[in-house]
Formats: sequence, structure tokens, C-alpha cells
Amino acid sequence: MSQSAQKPEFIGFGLGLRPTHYPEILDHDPSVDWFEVISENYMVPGGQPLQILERIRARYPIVMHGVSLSIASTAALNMDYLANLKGLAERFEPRWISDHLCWTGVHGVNLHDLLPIPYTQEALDHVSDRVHQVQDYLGRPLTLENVSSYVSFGRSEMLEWEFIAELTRRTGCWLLFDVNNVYVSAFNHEYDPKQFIDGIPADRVLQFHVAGHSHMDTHIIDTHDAPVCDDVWDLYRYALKRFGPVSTIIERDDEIPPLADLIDELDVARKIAADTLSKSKTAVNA
Amino acid sequence: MKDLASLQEEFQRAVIDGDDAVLAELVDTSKENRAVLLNVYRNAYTERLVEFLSNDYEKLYAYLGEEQFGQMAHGFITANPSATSNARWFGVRLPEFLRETEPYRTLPELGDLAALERALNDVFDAPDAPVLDLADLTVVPADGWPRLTFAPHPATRRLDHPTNATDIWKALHNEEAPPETKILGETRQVIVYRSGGMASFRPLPSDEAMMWDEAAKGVRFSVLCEMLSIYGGEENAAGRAAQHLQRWISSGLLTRFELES
Ligand SMILES: [Fe+2]
Repeated sequence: MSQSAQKPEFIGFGLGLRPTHYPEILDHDPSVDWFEVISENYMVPGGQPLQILERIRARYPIVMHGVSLSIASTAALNMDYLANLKGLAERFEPRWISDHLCWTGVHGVNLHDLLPIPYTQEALDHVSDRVHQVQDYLGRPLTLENVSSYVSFGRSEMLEWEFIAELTRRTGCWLLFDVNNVYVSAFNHEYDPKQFIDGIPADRVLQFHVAGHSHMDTHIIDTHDAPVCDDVWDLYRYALKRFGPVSTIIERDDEIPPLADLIDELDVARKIAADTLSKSKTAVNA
Repeated sequence: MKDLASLQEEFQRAVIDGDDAVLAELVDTSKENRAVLLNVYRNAYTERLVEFLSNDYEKLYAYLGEEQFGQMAHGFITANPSATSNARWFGVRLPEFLRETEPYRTLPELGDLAALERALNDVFDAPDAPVLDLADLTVVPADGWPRLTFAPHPATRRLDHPTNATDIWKALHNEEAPPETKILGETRQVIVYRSGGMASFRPLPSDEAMMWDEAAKGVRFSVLCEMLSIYGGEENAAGRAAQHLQRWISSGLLTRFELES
């Protein structure tokens, strides 16, 4: 997969699609530019989930966001999973397909969590190979998201953003830049989140996630159960200045409020982006 | 230095089995000890899996209450680490677990309730297939009826409950106090199906259940009528069979018929 694959166009401000909001979306066509759908939720044989997704897809662009690719795992790639993913992509034609830069288990076990990796040459070689394999299989570039992490490995040989930058250089993958995750990981591992942003190749960033988290005093946990906090909005401003207009969603997985509340929060993102980009020269790259 | 594969193996053992060896690979921060940070993953692991189970078995959760459900779920998780890439399938073995494992196996309503919830989940996203309509049968000549066979829709399940678990389910569904568990003198036969996209169930009278089970095996209509006449009396057996058939069709339980030669 070459780096020359054309960058998908900016699609505006979206939300993570959650089943509790299905009726409202179908009945009222809310003003959301696009929806990010959890791929695994639609890896089912049939019934309503797939029919509803079809109806929503007819009205909105979608992006498929997975949690089980386990790209950094040393276990063999799960070809059944990839076949499912490819089939789903053929059916729903997402603008792009994303998953996380992490692993979820080895020896046939799935921990259903986004587990951390050591930032070593060995891991970089391994993950790069896997990204190539997956991209070849899917016939399109992959988009990878930086995760929140709580531990770091003594053996790491580089910083997280150096690892990510080199991975995109080697594989041509796109980045789903989770602003909240950078905030969380920066606090947990005691670095400046702006340094992270400065270290990421701006032209590879395809999407932003913003979300809420839980502060535990000595560390922060990425819980997606609260509104986006001011610090994360500040970091979003900083990221916008560096990366320019990037398709954005708000992620909410727990304590999910009515859709109207999320749309209000999304309007905050729109406004911040409009204000920031009007003051910034990067906007001309739109 | 161990390789990435061994490191991941060790990390996984730390999360699943509470093994501490991986701590040697992790670093403290100025604010927190690495063991506390590792616990974030350990806690998240169990919490997330318990949540999958409580989402898929919400009536069982309501019936047992948070604490007892949590205890049961921990037992299940330890015995069945997830081997699926999709959370949707993590808890599918819970009914069997409850039927096989002490102390739950001595409370058969738990297994029945879980089996009912599992069947409801399964029919909800079962494969799509055409639904047989009464009008489809108008092409069958009158002398063809004895040779008809029927195929159940993939979004159907048949359950046999020794307990009144369906009553417990209904009470919980209506947010009422569940009735006391009863071991029934006669097994309750239940059909679970999809109607208008939603999962439903109803108990079947025993003659209808017998006819369904035979029809699902591909037994032809004439034989179904004979079986009904032996089972429930000769009087109007064909009429009763037609009534059951009509009800199945109006509930969307069948996907197609075949006319055997
Ligand atoms: Fe995210």
C-alpha cells in the first residue's frame, strides 16, 4: 500500500452511533454530518442492527471504527475477523476504516481492552508488517488511533509519537488522532501533550476523537462517560492549529445523554474549529 | 531480553490471572506506583466482561441483583476467558454454565432464564430470510397439502423449561416482583421468534409444540396431522394442524414450504 493513496475528504462533525439514539436519528434526521459506527456491532448475521445501519447509511456518511483488530498483537492475524470487516466495508462503503494502535490478546484470548505496547524497534517492525498485511487484504489504507495508556514499559526505545510518526511513514496508514487520549496519556506518563501533537506528521491525520475521562488524582482513566473538559478543548484548539480542518467526532460510551445534548456538544467543537481555523493559516489547506 | 510475544503473554497473565511478573517491565511515575497503574487494566478487564454479561442477560441481572450477579459473572469469566473478537458472543455459554456449575445448577430457573434471554438475543440478530406468507400457499393444489413440508425461519428457537422462568421473565420485564420459582409438573415448551424486528416468545400448548418439533425436522403435513390425531384425539386433527400452521405463518415462524413428490 503506497503513501500516495488519496486522502479522504473532510466530512465535518459527527458522532459515534449508539443504538439508544437509533429512533431519534431515523425519525428526525438530526444535524450531524456523519456517524462513526463500531464495526463489531454489525458483525452479526442479520436483523435490525444491519437494517438500521442501512437506513442511516442512506442518509449519512459513515466511518467504521473497530476494537478487535489487535494490530500490535503477536498472535496471528484473525482472518475471519478481517473477512467480516471487509464484507461489512463492501456493504456499507465507509469513508475509512479505523482501529486502535494496540493489542487485545494472545493465544486465542480476547481481553476486550486496548492494551499498551512498548515503543521499541521490535514492536515497530512487527506492527508495520501487520499494517501492510491488513492494508493489502482490505485493499485500502488503515486508519489507526492512539490509545489512552496507564502503564509504560521500561524497555521503550522511543516516544509514543515517534513510534506513530515512523509507523505512518513506513505504512502510509492514516491517523485517528484522539485528543482526549493524548491528554490522558500525557498526564499518566508525565509529558507535555503539545509535544505529542508537534511530533505527529500533520498530513496523516484524518480524524479527531474528543471525549470525556475520569480523573483519579494520580492518573486519568479514559472512560468516555462525561462531557469533554476545558483542558481537552484547549488541546483540540492546539491540534486544529497544527493539523488544520480534520473530521471530528465526540465519543460517548457510557452515561450516554440524549442525542440533543451530544449535538450541543458537537456544536461546541464546530465553533472551536471555526474560531481556531479562521485565525490560523492552516485553514487554507482545507 | 524477552521478545514482544513473551511480554504480551506475561501482560495477559497479569490481567487475567493476577500474575505480577510483568511489573518488572513497567515503570513507576512520580505520582503513582506501577502496580496501581497495572490494576487499571485488571479492573477494566473484569468490569467490562461483567458489563457484557449484564447487558446480554439483563433479566438475570435484575433477578440476582448486582452483587450475586457479579459473583456469578466472575465465576463465568474465570471459567470462560473470551475467545471471540466480538463482545456479542462472549456470554453465549452462560446458560450451560449455570446448568453445569454449583451452586447455580441447583437453581434451575437461572439456567432457564438465561436460556430464554440468550434465545431472545439470538433471534434478534439471526440471519434474515424470507417470511412465509399465507398467500404463498395459494399455489398449492388441494391434493398437494399432504405432501407439504415447512422450514422454520432462522430467527426461531425452541426451548423446554422445567421451571416457570417465563413468568419470572415477564414479571421482571414489567418491573414487578418475580413469582417464586416453581418446578413445573410438565415441561413448559416455548417458542422464541422475531416479529417486526423485535424478539418475542410464547409458551406452546403441548400438541402444538410436538407438531412444531416434527415440522421443523421436515415431516410432511399429512404425517403431522396423523401425529396430532394420535396425540390429541382424532377429532378434527387436520383442522387443528391447519390452525397451528396458520398461527405460525402469521407470527413469521416459517421461511418456506416445499412440495414433496
Ligand atoms: Fe477514541
